[in-house]
Amino acid sequence: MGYAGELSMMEKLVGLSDEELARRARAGSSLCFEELVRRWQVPLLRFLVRRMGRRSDAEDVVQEAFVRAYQALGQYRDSCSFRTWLFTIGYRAGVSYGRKVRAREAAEANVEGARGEERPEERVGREEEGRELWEVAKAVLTEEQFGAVWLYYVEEMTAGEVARVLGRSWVGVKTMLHRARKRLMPHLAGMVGRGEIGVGPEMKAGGI
Amino acid sequence: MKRRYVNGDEERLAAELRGEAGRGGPGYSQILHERIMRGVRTAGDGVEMKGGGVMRWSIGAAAAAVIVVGLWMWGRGPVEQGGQVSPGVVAKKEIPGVPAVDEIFERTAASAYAKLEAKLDEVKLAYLDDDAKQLARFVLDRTSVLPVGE
Repeated sequence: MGYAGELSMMEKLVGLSDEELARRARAGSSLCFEELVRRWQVPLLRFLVRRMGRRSDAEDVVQEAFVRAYQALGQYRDSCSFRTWLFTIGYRAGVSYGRKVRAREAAEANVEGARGEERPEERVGREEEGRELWEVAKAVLTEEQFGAVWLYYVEEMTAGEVARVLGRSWVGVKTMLHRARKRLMPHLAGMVGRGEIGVGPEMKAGGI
Repeated sequence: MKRRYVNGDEERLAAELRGEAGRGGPGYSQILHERIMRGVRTAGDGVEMKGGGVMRWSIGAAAAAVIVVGLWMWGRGPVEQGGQVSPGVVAKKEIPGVPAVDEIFERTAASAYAKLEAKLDEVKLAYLDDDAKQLARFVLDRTSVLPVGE
């Protein structure tokens, strides 16, 4: 296929849904899988960069997630959206990668000796000024809560989809989100108080 | 469809989280795209996709069908054309008869007995070195042909 042919093929693929592309990729079309990679590279990378902190780590996990997804395409069923399925793979790949990194770092720390580092929660209060809400979230929320908040508010997944990604029940996710909101609200109010973000009508009326 | 939040606070929080997530985050990277696709292609070499699996199964089934038809044609013998038997050499082999149970038993027992004898000989001559064993075997071999009790 020439360049022009490839270009017109790519134009056709742009109009297809993720699920249709996944079906075609499963039937052997590498171009369809490439289109899925093009579509979902950035959302998955943003999620993982925020969660893991280091871009190089996040890129490794994104690559691993797509490779795992490709290998498991035969098991993909259309009962859930491709996005939910991909994020499930990405989330799990991130968890296992993080575990390995933490184990390595702990081993290195043992060699170097205890340095008496302060806990992230302790740093929050001191360095809060000028921090982004996501940085605060990373410090005050658990890994799962952080994932739930991102998927629910940024990716705008339903609670059911978030539950599927995290491997939790719908009720569990709702509780998780409630607790996460409770922890984040005071920081949001603090940002409003310092004028870092604007004030909405509900806040003016004493919502926070 | 735009999501509805429980209250204004949550809406504010959601807007701030979304806004921050979109600001300054990593953008599309062609280098990363190529890296992912390289990984996918490498991994894909050993992957059996659903479609590929179906194709492989069909090829296998077709090959099996060809073999079965071939064997059937071969076993059918000469093809009759217009009521005449087509020329060809028809080998009439005699089917070997099934040996009797007694015969099978005798053969098996003889072989087992021979093995047992060999083992016993080994044990009996175990204390000798190789040269002595060879000599002893020669003597035993010679003496076994001599008439006994005559």
